[in-house]
Amino acid sequence: MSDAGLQVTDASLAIKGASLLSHAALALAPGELVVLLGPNGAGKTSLLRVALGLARPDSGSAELAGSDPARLSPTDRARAVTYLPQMRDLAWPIRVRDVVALGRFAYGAAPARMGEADQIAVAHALAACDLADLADRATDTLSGGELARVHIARALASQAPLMVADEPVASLDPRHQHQVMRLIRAFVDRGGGALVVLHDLDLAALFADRLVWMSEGRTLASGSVAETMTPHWIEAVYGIAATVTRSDGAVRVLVGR
Amino acid sequence: MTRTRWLIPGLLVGIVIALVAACLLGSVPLPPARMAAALLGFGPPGDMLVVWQVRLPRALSALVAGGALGLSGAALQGLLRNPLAEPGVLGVSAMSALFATVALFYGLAAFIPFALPLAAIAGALAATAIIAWAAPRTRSVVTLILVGVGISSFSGAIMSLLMNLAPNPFTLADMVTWMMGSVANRSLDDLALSGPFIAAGAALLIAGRRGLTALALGEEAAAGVGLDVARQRMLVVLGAGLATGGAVALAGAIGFVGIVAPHLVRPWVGHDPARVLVPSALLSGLILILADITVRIIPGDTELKLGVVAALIGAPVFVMIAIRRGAVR
Repeated sequence: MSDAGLQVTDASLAIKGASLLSHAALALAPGELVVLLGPNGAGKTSLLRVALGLARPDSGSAELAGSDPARLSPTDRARAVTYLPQMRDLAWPIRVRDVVALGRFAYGAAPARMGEADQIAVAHALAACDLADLADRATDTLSGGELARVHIARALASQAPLMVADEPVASLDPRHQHQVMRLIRAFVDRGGGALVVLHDLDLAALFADRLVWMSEGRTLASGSVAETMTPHWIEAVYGIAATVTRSDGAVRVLVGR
Repeated sequence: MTRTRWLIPGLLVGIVIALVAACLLGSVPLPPARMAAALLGFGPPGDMLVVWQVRLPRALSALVAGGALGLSGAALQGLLRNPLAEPGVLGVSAMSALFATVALFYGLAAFIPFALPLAAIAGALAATAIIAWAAPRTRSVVTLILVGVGISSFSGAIMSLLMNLAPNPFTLADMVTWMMGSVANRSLDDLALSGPFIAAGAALLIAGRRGLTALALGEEAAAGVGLDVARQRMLVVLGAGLATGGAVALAGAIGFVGIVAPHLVRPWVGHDPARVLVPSALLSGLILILADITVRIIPGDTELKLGVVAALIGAPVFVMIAIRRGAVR
């Protein structure tokens, strides 16, 4: 495990008597795209929060860039890993450029106060996500796919080595789902590490280097697509039968037989 | 971007013009030449009195109180992620006015020099603390506004009780002034008493403005980009409490300006909650100076209260924003 990575070991967490995590484990290193799979309520978001130090596990430990993430200042945490929580509407129709500029918040920047390095980072992020033409648009005039790209651009602008994204393609059509995943893939190919929660098994099979399967607060399995995208684990985690086919190296999942 | 660049200078020019107008207009006619002479300090004593003891302190009080309310409103809106948040609507002004009235009623203000602003600020802080405590526990803004209505009604009830117990009509008239808000008979001393608290609150709010932009993303994502959300909440509660409390100590409970000014400013600054703050304060100060001039020049035996005029303008805007938001969601 390198110093730049993120790791959760044997973490358990309960809130008001309800167990959210039990002995869960997770690891993410730069240069890999890990997809976290599991049904609603499996504890995926709780595991992400523990990994980021936003929640402290009752037992077990978390490590981010070599230290306990819960002890990091919000600024240091944001510089080590960029977090995209499940998408919520923006409170104000602020400009695309200003949202992306928030990626530089941990460096002391604000939309009204950008240093040279901040401006360069924002310009690169806008270009990488094909948003240059939309930079001055208000976010309430964007489509769901465009808004998802704005959030990815915000993550890229932070230039953090790691990215954690909670359902970044939720409620997007297939074309925009692929577009967002390709952006995350490109980030990983440039040396970043990404942990992504997905609900689409085909999409996970297509983009993941490694899958982590989660159910009822436990991480049941972790391994490559070839090893773990099997009817066995799909049934164990989601409780549904599935057929997995492989053709030309591509894995396709047919759920419900 | 040129629109944004001219916004603040434009508002400043507007404020200067409004202040001059406030010195010129009134029951005693004062031509510009005499007004200017009095303002510069070499007019006849009568003119000096009118300008320095009556008109200017009054206009400046309206400016400062309005500025504090506009700034607090804009900051609370940023913190709570909602354009309907405002010291008046959330019960902060009412609670503050109640505490101030208690301080007056029991004669504390006569003994301790800073008792009045301190009591008003304590009331404002109590209310903002309740709101900020309730905010993360409820996802619904409707609930939050209802909490504000609760605080308002509670303060109103105690206030009615105090009015019922008022020993004489003068005390009663004083209390009504607090509840409705007015800058009549304010002196430069009153301004000096509340000013430091308002300045401190404003400094806190402006220092923390960067975090308000981050909060546009939601609290979780704001924490993700590096914002200490708990600290930000504390900063806004303290800043808005100090500024609103100071404003109430100066001018009583004036509602709704904190909604109108940010609402008008927002499209000019790309809806960025950080950039809304300063222009909101300026515009809201300007609105109150103009409202106070209106109050003074409307003929009649009893003067209309400033807070009433503010509510007459502000309440319809509040209802309009509420309905429009309802239509979007």
